[in-house]
Amino acid sequence: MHIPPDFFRITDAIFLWYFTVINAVYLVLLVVGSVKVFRRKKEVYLEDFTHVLQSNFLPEISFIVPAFNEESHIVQNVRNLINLSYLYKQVIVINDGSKDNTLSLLKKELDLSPIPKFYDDRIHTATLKQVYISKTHPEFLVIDKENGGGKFDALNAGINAVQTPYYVAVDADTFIDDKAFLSLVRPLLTDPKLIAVGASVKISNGCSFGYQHISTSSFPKNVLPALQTLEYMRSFLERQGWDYIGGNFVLAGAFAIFKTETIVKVGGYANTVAEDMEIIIRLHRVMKETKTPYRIMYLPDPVAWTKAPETIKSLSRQRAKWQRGLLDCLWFHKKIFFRPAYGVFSYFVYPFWVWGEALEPIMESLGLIYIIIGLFSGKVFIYFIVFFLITTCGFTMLFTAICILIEEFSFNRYPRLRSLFFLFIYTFVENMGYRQLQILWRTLGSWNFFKNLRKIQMISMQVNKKVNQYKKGSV
Amino acid sequence: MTVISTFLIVLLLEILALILCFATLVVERVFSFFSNKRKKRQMDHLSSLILTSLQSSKKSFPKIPAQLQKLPLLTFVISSFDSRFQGGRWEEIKQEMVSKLALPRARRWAKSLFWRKRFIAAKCFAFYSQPQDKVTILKLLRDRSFLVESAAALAIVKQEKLDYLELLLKKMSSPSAYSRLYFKDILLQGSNSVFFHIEKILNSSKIPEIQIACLEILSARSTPLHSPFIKKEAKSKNLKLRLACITLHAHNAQTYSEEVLQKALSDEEVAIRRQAAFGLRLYASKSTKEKLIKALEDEDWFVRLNAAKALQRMGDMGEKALKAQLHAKSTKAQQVASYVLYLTSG
Repeated sequence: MHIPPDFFRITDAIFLWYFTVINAVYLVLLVVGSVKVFRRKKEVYLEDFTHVLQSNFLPEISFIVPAFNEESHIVQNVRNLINLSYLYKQVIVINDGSKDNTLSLLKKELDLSPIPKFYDDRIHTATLKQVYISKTHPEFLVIDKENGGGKFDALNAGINAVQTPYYVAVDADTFIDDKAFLSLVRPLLTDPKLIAVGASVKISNGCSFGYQHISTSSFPKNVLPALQTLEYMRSFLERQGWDYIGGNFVLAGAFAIFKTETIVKVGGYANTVAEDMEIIIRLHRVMKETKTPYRIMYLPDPVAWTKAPETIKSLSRQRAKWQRGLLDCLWFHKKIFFRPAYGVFSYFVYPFWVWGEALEPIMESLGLIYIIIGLFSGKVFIYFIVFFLITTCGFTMLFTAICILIEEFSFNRYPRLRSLFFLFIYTFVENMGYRQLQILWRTLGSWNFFKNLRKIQMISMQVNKKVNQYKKGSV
Repeated sequence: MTVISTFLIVLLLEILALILCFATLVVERVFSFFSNKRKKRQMDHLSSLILTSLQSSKKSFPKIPAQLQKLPLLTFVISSFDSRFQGGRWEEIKQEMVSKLALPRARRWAKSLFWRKRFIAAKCFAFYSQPQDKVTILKLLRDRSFLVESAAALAIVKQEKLDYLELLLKKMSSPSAYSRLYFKDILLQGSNSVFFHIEKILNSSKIPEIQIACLEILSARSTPLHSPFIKKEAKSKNLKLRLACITLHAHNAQTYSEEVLQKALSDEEVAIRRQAAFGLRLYASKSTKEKLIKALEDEDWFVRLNAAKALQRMGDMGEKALKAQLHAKSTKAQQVASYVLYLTSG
């Protein structure tokens, strides 16, 4: 096979340029993100949370917990929410057509009693079967409904029942740290323009759960959750950077606070696997299009702790789902691309998400194929490949090491030196196969997106209709 | 070879940076271990000095060595004592310590560029302040950091002065989301004379937002009020003012509140009917019972629920009325009555 003489020179330059740009952006995000983290740490250190606890006048906040076949987590989640010391809470658990014992466990735990549906539907959802209220904890409401095809439908059903100005979307396998939640209350309430607040989510595998707090003195023993701990740490710090420049695209679906009125107005969550990301992009979009002053905040406080997949099968499914969700969202909101009306999103955030996130698995796969071709054709030398891989791994390790340092100097959630030592070790391990597997899973996710493009186009129309409806309403 | 040497240099730099990261981590651990130990020792020492003078029979004040006179340390220890002790000897010691050791530096820190320093200064003023600090405190109340602002608000409440309180009420009534709730909490920490001043402001103010702020505070404590305003404004055309008035009657019952709440139960606004039904839980008269039974058929679930709960609290009379609703024609009344009876049966 004849390969043009310039092929390797041009391809080398493309790959080098691509990865250098991405890593440089991540480094900048890490630096600006760390400034935000340290500033917030000072605030949390000085704030007196007993004031929040003693207050008689804080607004009610609803916790929406969508649950589909969550029999293994639901009881622990409910107990965690019961024990939260924030006085003005309402909890709405949505049994989204579970086929396991989720509902019967809820009935047993909360002593549920059926009540008439007391609210009107503001967002269309699948058929509701029954509303229950807890006899022992009247702040708990359970909605039993038919499965609506995804978490988005359960969240919409929850929003319909919300009577409070703010709500928190919480996953059923998520544990909320009491003190960290209280620390969110002041920033939430002091900015009138605030429509959504997110906080850091960390991996709970290997941790022990207390009455209201989580003990993080131990580290996940299983390799997969340990590697994900590193990933979460990195990505949440990067997101702090995005938040700093006002370009945050996503708040963790496992824990985020929203202004109920705004979410109802934008038509609730859309039918996609990345409903958490989509709603944030839509909020940015409608606010920019209607020129409404708004703020979406992402705090570095480690508030919620979630269970990470422990098997290759579940992890691969999750990563493919995330990639598919990312592509869904970028497709729905392609209008943002290079339109000055959307400010920093149009010319930096959106292009970077396409370039650095959506295309990354494809570029990395191509890179691997390129190396193989180069080796077989004798144009690339083995020692060059070895040095290249070592320096790339070294950069990832360095990046993670800086993240660990920031974590240590800020919230210090891994107090034991042993945990930190393991974190360092795993930064090395993750480059040996785990990263390559991720590329494969994410490529499969991309394939899944293109396979379902027709269906996605239909949903895209619905999403854009919601945006237009909001615009008409605001006019 | 140039490519290889570039790779080697990059690799070397990476290794050096990694070693530096690891070394920083170890140094930080060691440093924070000793620094925390020192801080704890200083705190224990200062606390024991204060405790000794609190327990001593003579009126002596603690002699605090220079190394324990750091402002953050002083404010931390004083605030922890302040949450446990009130008045008497502690108040004397606190005033002495703050005026001699903390205030001179707090006045300087109040002008600092760093919000952390301004926050600590505001906290000092909240412990104790002198008349000459008025301007500084008012400046801190307009600070761009909310933490500084709220600490300054606490200092203002402690001063118990009418013009200061008016300023705080103005701040509370400005449209800044729920931050008003913090100011409300702070005002509620005030003494009876603060309440007296707030009632005075309610009567004299012409601004509805300030009137609403006053009503919100007055509704939070059970005290007899003499203002004619709260009876008159229960019929106000301004919805927010009317709601604040009815909420006051529902939470801080006055001699004529029953009549006001009964009328409010047929108000066209749902929020007012909800408050009225909630407030009527305190009255067990026949006329209230009749009104509440009628409210069991209200179109709003929470009005029905509050009415049913109020009936249930009336004792035998209310419970009989609720049981009678189990066979009523109205499904709304039937559902809510059975629900409340079910809740209380266990």
